[in-house]
Amino acid sequence: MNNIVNNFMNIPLQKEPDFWSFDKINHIRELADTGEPYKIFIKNNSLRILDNVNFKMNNDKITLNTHSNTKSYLADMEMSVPLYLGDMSYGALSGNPNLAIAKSAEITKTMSGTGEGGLYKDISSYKRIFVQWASARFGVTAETLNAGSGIVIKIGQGAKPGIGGHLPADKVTYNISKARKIPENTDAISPAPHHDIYSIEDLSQRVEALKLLTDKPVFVKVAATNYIPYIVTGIARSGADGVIIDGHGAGTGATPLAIRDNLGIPVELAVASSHNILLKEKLRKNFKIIAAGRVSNSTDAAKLYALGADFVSLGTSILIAMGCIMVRKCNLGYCPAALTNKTDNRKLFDIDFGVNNIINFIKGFKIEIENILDNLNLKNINELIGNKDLLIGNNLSRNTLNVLDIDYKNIKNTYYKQGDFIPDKKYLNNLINKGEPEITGMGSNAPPDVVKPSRIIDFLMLDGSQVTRPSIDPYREAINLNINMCSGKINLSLPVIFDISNSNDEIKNGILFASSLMNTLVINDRIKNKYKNITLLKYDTFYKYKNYIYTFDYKNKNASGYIINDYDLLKIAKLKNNLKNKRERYDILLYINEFRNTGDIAKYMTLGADAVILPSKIFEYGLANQNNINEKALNFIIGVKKELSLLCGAMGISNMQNSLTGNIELLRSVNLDNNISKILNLSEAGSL
Amino acid sequence: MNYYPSSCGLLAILRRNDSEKISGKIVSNSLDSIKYRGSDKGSGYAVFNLNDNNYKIKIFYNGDEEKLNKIISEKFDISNYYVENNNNVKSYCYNLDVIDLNLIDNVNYLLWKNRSGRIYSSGTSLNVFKGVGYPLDVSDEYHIDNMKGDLWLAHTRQPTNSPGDEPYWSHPFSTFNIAIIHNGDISSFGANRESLKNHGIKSFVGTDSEVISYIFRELLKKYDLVTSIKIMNNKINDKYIKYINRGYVLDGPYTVIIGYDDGSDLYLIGLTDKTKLRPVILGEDKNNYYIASEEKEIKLINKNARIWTLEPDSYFIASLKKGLINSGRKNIKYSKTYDINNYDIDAYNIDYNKLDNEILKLNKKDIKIKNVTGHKYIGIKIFNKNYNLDLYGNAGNCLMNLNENNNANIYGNVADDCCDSMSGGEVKIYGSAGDVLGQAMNNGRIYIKGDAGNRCGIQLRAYDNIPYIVINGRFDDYLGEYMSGGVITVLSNNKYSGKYIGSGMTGGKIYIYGRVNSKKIGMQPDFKNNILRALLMESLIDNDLYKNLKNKNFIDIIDLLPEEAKIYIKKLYNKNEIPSYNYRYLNKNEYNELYYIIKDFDAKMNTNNLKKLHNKFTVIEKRI
Repeated sequence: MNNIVNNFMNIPLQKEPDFWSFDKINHIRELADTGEPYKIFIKNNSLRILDNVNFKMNNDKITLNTHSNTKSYLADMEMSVPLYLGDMSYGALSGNPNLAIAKSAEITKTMSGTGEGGLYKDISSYKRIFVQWASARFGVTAETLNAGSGIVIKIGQGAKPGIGGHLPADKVTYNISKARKIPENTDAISPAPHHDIYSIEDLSQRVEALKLLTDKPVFVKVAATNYIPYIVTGIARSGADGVIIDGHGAGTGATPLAIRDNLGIPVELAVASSHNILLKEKLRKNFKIIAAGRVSNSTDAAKLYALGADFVSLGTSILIAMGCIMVRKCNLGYCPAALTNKTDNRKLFDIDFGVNNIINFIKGFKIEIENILDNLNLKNINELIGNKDLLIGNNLSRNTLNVLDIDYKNIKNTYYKQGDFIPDKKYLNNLINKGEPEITGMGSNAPPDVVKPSRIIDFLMLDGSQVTRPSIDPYREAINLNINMCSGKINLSLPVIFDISNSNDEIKNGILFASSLMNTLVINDRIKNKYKNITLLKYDTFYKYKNYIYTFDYKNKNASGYIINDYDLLKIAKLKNNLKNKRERYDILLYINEFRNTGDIAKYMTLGADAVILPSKIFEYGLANQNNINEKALNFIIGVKKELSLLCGAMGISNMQNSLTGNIELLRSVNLDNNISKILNLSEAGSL
Repeated sequence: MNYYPSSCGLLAILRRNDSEKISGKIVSNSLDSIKYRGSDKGSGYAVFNLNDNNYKIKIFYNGDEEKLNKIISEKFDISNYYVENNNNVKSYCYNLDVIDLNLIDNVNYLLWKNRSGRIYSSGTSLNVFKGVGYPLDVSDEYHIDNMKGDLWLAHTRQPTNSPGDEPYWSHPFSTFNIAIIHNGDISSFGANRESLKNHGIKSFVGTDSEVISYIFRELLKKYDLVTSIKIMNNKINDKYIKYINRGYVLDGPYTVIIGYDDGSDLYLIGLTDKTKLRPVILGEDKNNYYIASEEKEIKLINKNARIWTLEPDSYFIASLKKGLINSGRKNIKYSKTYDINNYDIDAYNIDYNKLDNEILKLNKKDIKIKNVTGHKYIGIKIFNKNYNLDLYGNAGNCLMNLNENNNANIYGNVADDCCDSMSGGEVKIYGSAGDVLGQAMNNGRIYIKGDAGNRCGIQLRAYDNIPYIVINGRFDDYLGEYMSGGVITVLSNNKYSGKYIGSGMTGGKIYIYGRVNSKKIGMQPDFKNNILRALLMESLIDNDLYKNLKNKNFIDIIDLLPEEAKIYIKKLYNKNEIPSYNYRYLNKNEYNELYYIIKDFDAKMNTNNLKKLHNKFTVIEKRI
């Protein structure tokens, strides 16, 4: 057969910035090819926090003749090096890659996680696997739960905090349908929450039940989100044996872009903070922390060990070792490398090629770690774990350094505008054409870490509910996005107002039609009688609805509400302070001139806006042509609405206006200028 | 500013007006029975005695006593004070001539600035006792067992993080004559706190429960009791009240229990979130009203107490003088209590998680067990061992999870998460079932003689085999959510059954006897009238059609629209959100399939349903 993939393909030119850069992919390929070390103590020039944490020494000698020892233990088994090959399901991967991973873990004496899709072929014959108890129970039987060395209760993952696993209908073939006991060609969207785990005490209960059933170690996998230190202590107290903390930017087979790019916090902050609190609460002993998400090389791994991780998890890098070329089409099922393609046997991944590469990769990775230990004058890996004294921060903010709890060379507040704002045309175009949330594959490239930040909100991340409260399923449960404005006189289905005053008539008519159908508000320079109930009339410096006035002038006492421009964001603090105990009588509207995606809307609301205004030029920017404007305008509003449902559900919010407006508990800043954090009253990601 | 999530077990008891005061010993013993829900990190009690008119505040304080006296005497007229508890953080009790609410906030602000202390109890009839420890540790500390009260609230807490061993974060939380205990994690916390801060409340210890007590206090300044509860529970219709109080609505999972003295009467209030994500069991007997996290807490006090569950998105109110004001459930049917004389195991003294061990010790397969009181995980160690179990009492969470071939008869109620991932065997419940019954079950049968809770049969699936769930009574919200195969049959036509039936259905069938209000099927957009008006305005429908559709539910409109309108309407919902339904007679295949199931059900559950198969059912399937 000529459709067997058993070779590396050329890496396509990356037109946009990608975390998995050519250099990173190339490094992994070098290891996979040779099984020998390639590069250690790599320095990346980026805003990613981990890249600004370095070891305090300057030796970077690499040799094959190492002295240190990387031996470790997991689930009572000896591990040659503390690596966990992370949780990629049968379905997301096409079977043979799953098998290659399980087999490689066995040979390299590491551990692999099977993900939530059940066990492909004879994977159950391998002992170095962790099987999964996930919200959809795909493939869950007493037999599979007993098949591995441990069980992972999957609460969440870094690429989609607060929502469930997602296998698009195209990939639910006969084979997958059989493994998951669901109909063919239907989306397999796992429930957002576990319906047996709505709280910490529910989690304790499920841990206890699984232990009674199997007598095996139980781990809990969570996305790194706002309450991560508390969640990890809760997990430790629940009787679980460890936690897998999956950070922002981690990979996945399919996820809504709006969720992936806006929720969750960096794993380095989560690990540092969790390690510290467990020590303080005397819960650290015999409890394992596995750090996952964006572990791209041995240098990343070593830093995470030093910040407090016992193990690191490799997912995307294992795929790259098996030939992934990062075209980010995992959700479509046409993977050129036959890794995430659909299981219709049209293209097969060569298992031996995969096993060979992974073994070499891990071998090289291990020797790199040994070299790092040698250069640090450490005898074994245990001397590195939690040894924060070896690290030094560079160009990080004080709040970030406080969470990391490491020494620093200098403290620096990064200027938030590092580049010009560029709207995401592809994303807008998708919303306009489909009216559905954009689904994408692999990890995030969002600012500030990869794409250059240009706005304050690029440094802010939203919460994803993990363990302490359930998320709400956005596809099948009730999430209320309605809002009231003008003392309850205006009732709308969405906190988004379109400013069409500068558009041509065709665009205007399309958005008016869609707004009328969706019951949302528009701002226009004249009132069409038909739409008078949904039109805010634009004057020079204010907008008017019947007798209610919305103004940019905060001194105007007769206003019903005030408008703030996104580039004047910090004014919101002052405005709220002026209004004080009269705040609830006014609407605060945020005018978004620079719109990246719906995450922006949620962020501005948590900062205090009751609703946002979007100029119709954003819609126009995403239009490929002027056909079917009515339908496209409707798609756009519906797409925004669905994405807002996703975001609210993931945050555990069923009632957007009541629960989101002013709820800064749902926001965390990531290495944001501390002066700005203070004005906006924000906590740093990972802080207590 | 911090926020500390936690998890918990709750209990509250209010005496009836003609009954005796309730002994603290009953309360602490009952709470102790669920101590596994909490930890040694915090427990607490609140007792109300309506006739006590003396003003008092209680303060946790870890600093210099003189300094505290100075702060307090500057703000209040002290009659006397004493040290109630000499732990590392001491508890001081001050008797005062009168209390000004604003001054309490003021003192708390001063004390909490450097975390040196906190007023944790204030009022006349109210007395809070809380500390670090298990329920019995704290009750011993304060001699709770020797006290008597008209109304008690009690709480055991599992903090995800408790800074040191300090009592500030233990429940109950109180403001003047209001005490609150809470199980859940309020997702609107930050928004609620912001609204309170706008109104001058500056100091928070950082729990959502405390915030709820402040909200309740602030609302009572402006509104009556029921309006205040409705605002928090998001059940207000008045547009202005709704708007102006938009920062005082609770979201996320919660069971909140409030004790409140309005000056002339004592109220016990229980409220739950939109989908009742935390457990809440209600009860009454001739002496008392009860609210609890688990049925066993009530049954330990009175085996014959009448038990029901709070409806999702609703509230319970009872008062000392007025009795039951709102039961929190329409049309309550109490389960019968079953007794047994010949038994193999008496579960009374067996640990909550050890019943399977006792079953495995016996050298037989047919086993009768009495006094099952909230035991959890029954059947998980014997999942494939072909037992026949008769369980008398109330079974706890996670009964028969992953069951492959055992049969179990439960003569009593069953708590949540029963039959999760079951792949065979038969479970018959002669009482009622809690929430999330039969999740992801893929084979076998579940029969329920009473009612089913929220999310019954969710993720039901069929591949080689077909699972069946039969419900004789009522069901709550989200029946058959995410279902992709299998059959759920409901044999009663109960107008109080829940909504969102079959939301996310991709396969299988739900049969409900009689006509179901179509509003309750699936997840339908709630702005239907706007949609129709817009379609009319755009001339996509004519006036006649508009009038015809105006009073119909969204689900019934979809197929009646002309094609050019359908293009737009179809975008407004996900296909799977709204299943299709038909009110009709069963066809021959359906009849034959159900005949054997229902005949079996009637025989085993002692009911008489078979003849209903000749009548019309509402048949719900995935939308094509």
